Amino acid sequence: MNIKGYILLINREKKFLEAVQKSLLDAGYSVLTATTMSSAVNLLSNNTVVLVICDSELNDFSGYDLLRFVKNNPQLEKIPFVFFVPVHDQGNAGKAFKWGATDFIVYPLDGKILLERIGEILPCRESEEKKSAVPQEDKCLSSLQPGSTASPAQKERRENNRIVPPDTVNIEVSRDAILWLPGRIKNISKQGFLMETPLLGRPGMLLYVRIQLPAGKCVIENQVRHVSISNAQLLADIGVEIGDSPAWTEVYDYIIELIDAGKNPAAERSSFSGKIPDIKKLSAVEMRPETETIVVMNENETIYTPPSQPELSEPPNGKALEIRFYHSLVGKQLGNYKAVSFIGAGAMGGVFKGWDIILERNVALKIISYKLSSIDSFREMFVKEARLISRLNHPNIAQIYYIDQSDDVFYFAMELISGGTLKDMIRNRNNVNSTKGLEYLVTICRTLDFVSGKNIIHRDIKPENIMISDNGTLKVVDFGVAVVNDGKTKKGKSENLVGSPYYVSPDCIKGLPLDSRSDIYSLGATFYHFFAGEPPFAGESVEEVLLKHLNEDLIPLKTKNPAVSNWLSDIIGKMMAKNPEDRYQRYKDIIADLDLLMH
Amino acid sequence: MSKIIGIDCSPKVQAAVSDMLGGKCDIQYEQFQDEMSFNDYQMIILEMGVSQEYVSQQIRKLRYACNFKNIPIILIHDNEKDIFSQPYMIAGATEVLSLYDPLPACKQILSGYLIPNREPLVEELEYLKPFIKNTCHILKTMAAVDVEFKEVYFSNSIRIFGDVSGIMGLSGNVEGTIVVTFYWDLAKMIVAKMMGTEEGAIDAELIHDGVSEIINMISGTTKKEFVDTQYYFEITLPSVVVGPGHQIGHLQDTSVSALIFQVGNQSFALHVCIRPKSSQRKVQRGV
Repeated sequence: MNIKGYILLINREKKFLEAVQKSLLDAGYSVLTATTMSSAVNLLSNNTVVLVICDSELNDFSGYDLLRFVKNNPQLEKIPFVFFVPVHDQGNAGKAFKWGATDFIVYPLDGKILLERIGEILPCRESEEKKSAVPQEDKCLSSLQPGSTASPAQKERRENNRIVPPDTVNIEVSRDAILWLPGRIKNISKQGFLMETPLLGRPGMLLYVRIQLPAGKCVIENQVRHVSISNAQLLADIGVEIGDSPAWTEVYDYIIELIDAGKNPAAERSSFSGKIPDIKKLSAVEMRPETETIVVMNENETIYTPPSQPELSEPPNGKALEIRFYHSLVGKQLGNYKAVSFIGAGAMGGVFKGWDIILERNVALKIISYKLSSIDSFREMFVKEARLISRLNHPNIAQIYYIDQSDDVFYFAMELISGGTLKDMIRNRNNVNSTKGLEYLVTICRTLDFVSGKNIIHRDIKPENIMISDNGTLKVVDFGVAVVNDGKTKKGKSENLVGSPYYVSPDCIKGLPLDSRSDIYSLGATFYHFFAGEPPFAGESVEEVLLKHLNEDLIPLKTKNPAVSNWLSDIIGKMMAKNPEDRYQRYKDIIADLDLLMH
Repeated sequence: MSKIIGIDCSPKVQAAVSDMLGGKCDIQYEQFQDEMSFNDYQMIILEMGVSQEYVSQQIRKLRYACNFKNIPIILIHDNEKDIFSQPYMIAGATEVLSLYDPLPACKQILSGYLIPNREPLVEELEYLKPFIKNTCHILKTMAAVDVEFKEVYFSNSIRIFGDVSGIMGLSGNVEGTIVVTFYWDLAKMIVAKMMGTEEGAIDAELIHDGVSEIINMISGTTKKEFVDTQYYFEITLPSVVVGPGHQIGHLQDTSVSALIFQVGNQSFALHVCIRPKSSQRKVQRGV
């Protein structure tokens, strides 16, 4: 081995480290390992490290903290820094590049690809198999020069199946959904696309893209991952990543249809040439399983269109109008709250970072969308639920402070949580098998035990509604569809279907009266997703997923993730029993079993 | 009660505006004139005419008459289909709405713009005050002009409506952008005074250089006040952009402070967008 120095591998999981270390040692590299930033810094100080390969989450800090440390240290800044990135979260690679990362390696790992990529970054090694007559030195030096690694755009093309759409697909791009500038999609994948546009952006920036579909204009929110300007006279290439978006699914499928139609114009035109089939339209726009919450208010009034009425209620520019409304509120004062900056928009409304002028503290201001706030019954329901939730005083429940209507703007102020969600954690790691996950599960069980003690059912437990703040505190959020189970509800009356398709309980699907066991099922499904890296039941449509909850046997967690213990697999399985009578009846019993597992 | 002026509005648009804003606002309707004053109005509603060029010109004049104040200009049209709104947005319109857009949405958007502006937070004042002081001081010293700070507001606006802007990037303990924006006449006057020449001798190139120098001096002088503080920053080389409606790449999720200054009966603006770098962000205090 000709490399004078070590490769430093940093990851929280020792087994993973050992496996990767072994393959690198076998290939002739010298390797050091660490699970924390502090031990990594120690190793960097005392050894000659020529390459750092690091995970984004470490036991004590994040990989980005280590990256910044390395790049801010004159003695270490030249060391190439490579990130491990899960295949579903290459968006974070953009952030890492901004701070000086050299490359990212997607896992699940292919050992051969890992060695190839390391070989590109590090000086060539002279092995008996690889000696050549041509001196390698110049090539080796060039491999260490800045900029010798592939650009983010090139890496993206390497990692994803990119498709070039026809020239007829024109788009418009905007920073604020008000002023639209032209753009052209150069290539697309399921995760995002590369476009050419005069609108400049920077990595991490939010952009809105508008595309004309047969059914009307579609607005998609996306995030800039990389910007490349090859020639100052030409337009910039901007690569964007799109999160889980039913609208993007529809656009992607439409573009594929156009490409296929272009290749075989004699073939019978598919549904996208004219009216979009109801089911596809419904599943793409309204109820894509992993993101949308199905909320049916009562038999006569709906917020989201139920399967029996597949007409779109959203006007073509509805989303753009919502966004423009939120933008109009920045810099305004709503009652005792200042809307400082716009964070983002969800299905229910827009979220702002706000300031409480009376109590002098940061808050999150949630502004209800114009569609929902114009429905009387929604407003009444909302106020009732807000009162209910404001009485839940628990360190792991995000508090609602105040609710009001100011100049037709319906809003509430709640605890501002800076951090990510369990969904972000799942995205960052394909499957998480850690003590931390078990701790989270115990904490949420304790929290929901408290909630059920007040006879409240959350009804929408899912990874997005479990937040982990920057200081590590876990918070259950969004009690927007919670109800009081006080025994006054008439038994036998059909309950409306609420919840998220991936995590909704069979009893809820069937319209049976609900109790805390329904939340137990949803919690089980959430942590199944957390530990397995994929939801317990998946499908192309909401209906398919719901049917699987009802009828299909759960694949044991252990099968999806062999690293998980049988005990944990059984606990999750019991939480997700189809029949509520077969599930855990109380959170305390789950906690007791988890305690045995952890000790 | 908010005061709104409707310009060139047909009875149909007047009826729609009444439906949306009704008895909450005092709405006056007038015909467009070249010299209009909007000191007391919180919103301008303009009905789109036939000629795109004429409407853009109207909007430019209205925006100029607003004197950098945060007065939204709402353009309303009667087309069922989306129209190409770029020329109007670049000219100075805040919003383009159609009579066919959902009434609740339009009502919400207009109501949002009519909500009163917030006051600065204490932390914002900490870094804004030096900019205010130094802007007045620099122009007094370099151009012998009396500058009066008038007001500050906060917006998400990324579009600048002046004729020429000097842009400075910041990095250090904080990151962000500072932009000084003038209309042509005032820029010419100030640069002429800086150079000690007649205004007639000032051409575009000199204005370009002069504005660049102004933003450089404002940033450089203010920077010194933040040494060893949480707001310390280094500055880039200044850039200058000429032409109205240019979009500035301000930081995401960070409010932009718009400081309005007056020189005689003309105004200019200083846009400050600053955010502490992530490892150093502190909890904001407020008034």
